[in-house]
Amino acid sequence: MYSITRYLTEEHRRGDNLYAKLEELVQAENWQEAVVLFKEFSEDVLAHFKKEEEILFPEFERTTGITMGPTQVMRIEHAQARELIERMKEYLDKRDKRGFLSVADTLMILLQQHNLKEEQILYPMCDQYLDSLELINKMDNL
Amino acid sequence: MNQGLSLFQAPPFIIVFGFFLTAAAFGVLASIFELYFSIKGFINLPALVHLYTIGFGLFTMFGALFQMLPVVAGAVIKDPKPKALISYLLMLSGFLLMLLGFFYGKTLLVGSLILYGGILYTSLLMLWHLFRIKANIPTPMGFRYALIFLIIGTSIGLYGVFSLFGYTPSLRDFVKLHYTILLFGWVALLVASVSFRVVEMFFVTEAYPNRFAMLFPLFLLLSLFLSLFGEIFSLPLIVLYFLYSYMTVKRLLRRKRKTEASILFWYLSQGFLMISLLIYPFHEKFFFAFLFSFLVFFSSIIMGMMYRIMPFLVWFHLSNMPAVKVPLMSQVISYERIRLSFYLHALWVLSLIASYLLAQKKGFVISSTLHLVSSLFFFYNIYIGGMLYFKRKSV
Repeated sequence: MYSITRYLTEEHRRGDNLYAKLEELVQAENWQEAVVLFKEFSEDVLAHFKKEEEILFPEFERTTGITMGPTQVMRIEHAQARELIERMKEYLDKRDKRGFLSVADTLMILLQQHNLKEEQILYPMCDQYLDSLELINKMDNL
Repeated sequence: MNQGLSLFQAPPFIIVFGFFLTAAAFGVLASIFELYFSIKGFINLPALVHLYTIGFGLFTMFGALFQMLPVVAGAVIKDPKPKALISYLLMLSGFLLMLLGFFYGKTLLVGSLILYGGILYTSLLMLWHLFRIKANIPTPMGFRYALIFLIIGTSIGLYGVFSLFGYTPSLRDFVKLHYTILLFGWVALLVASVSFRVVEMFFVTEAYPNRFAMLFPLFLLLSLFLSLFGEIFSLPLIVLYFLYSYMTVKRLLRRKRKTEASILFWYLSQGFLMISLLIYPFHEKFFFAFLFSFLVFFSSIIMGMMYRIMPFLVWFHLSNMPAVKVPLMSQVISYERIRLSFYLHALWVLSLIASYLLAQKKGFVISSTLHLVSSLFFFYNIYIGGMLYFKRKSV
């Protein structure tokens, strides 16, 4: 059966793969392709955040009554990630390889520990308490 | 469900930093002892081994577990500061007394008892939280087994100290039992369990086969038991860790993320795990070589991991504070310093191997000096990185 865990974990992995390619392009100072891939990567990550913030988290909070718990922490980390993505864009525009890789590395670790918490704890809880199929459809149509 | 309210709470920075910095300080102390022994031409092996395994290894691993339990397993220790403080004080005072006891005898028993109290308290505290969550993924499952092995291995160690003082009958092969359980059941299992999550995520690799990772602790339990019967029976244990190491290296070689700063530490670590496994069937004859290769295995991975965890924690905790100038990870500990630290560490490893093969006393003095430089540099990096958090926080 298709689950929220699987659906959103696949999105995490897609983001990881895009990130790895992006980092390699910047490392090689292939700026032209890096700009294109950065757009794809940031849009992908931000769309994922949107699905969670607009559909998954509100539904979780409504069903469980927990509003100041894990979803709140996840929102804070999303905000931190957004800020880092903006800084990456600034460095990319300036063609500053060192600055870009430094911010990107921080973003990567932030996202990894963030994803871990979601994949190990939050998503399985969502699968347990929410209607997975309906939510996946909603997220797909966002 | 309401426990979710406190879910995901990272422990205060001071807890992890305190354990890590103490571990790095013990690393420096160990290399000072190493230098002293190489100059004097004798070695107090129990003191040196425990400086590495407890001073450097255990302090790091407990610090890391305080951090990882909520993140990796969702096991949140509520109000962690006083609990971590009890753990830290018992372990520090107990270990220092035990260390003194290795030289002067008198404080060995009382030190071992206090240290054992600290280990038991911390392990049970963590196990209590780990058994309250569903461990349907490999990492928390591995943590459970590793902590249980830690309790068993240290209990055997304590029994040995009692025997030494004549309170209990002497057990044949208790030393072998003690180090086999602790090295393979605690240290290596914890490293493997962490790898099952971290390698895939930090280096962007394919995942380890889930069944292998899930069953790893159970296989380990069986193969550890078998290995107690002698050389040939240690084969399953060796094969199991070889498989783990092979899978790890294969993943690292095929990783999609090429620029990870800690990758060299991982390669060195896995290489020496394999070497230690090759030596293991003959380890009683080549005891020093076995211990050394196992030390390189776990010290390298600890250094690599600490260089990633520390800068992230500084950034993470500061970025949650309003109006604080937050440094990036590379500004906490620069990639250049991480690389330099690796080269110093590797230079020590190579020079010690050369001294060992050539049986040169002068070589041992040189390699120990190199190790002291490497340990001091590692301590400096962790200290400076951690202090940045307190400086920025107070501005």
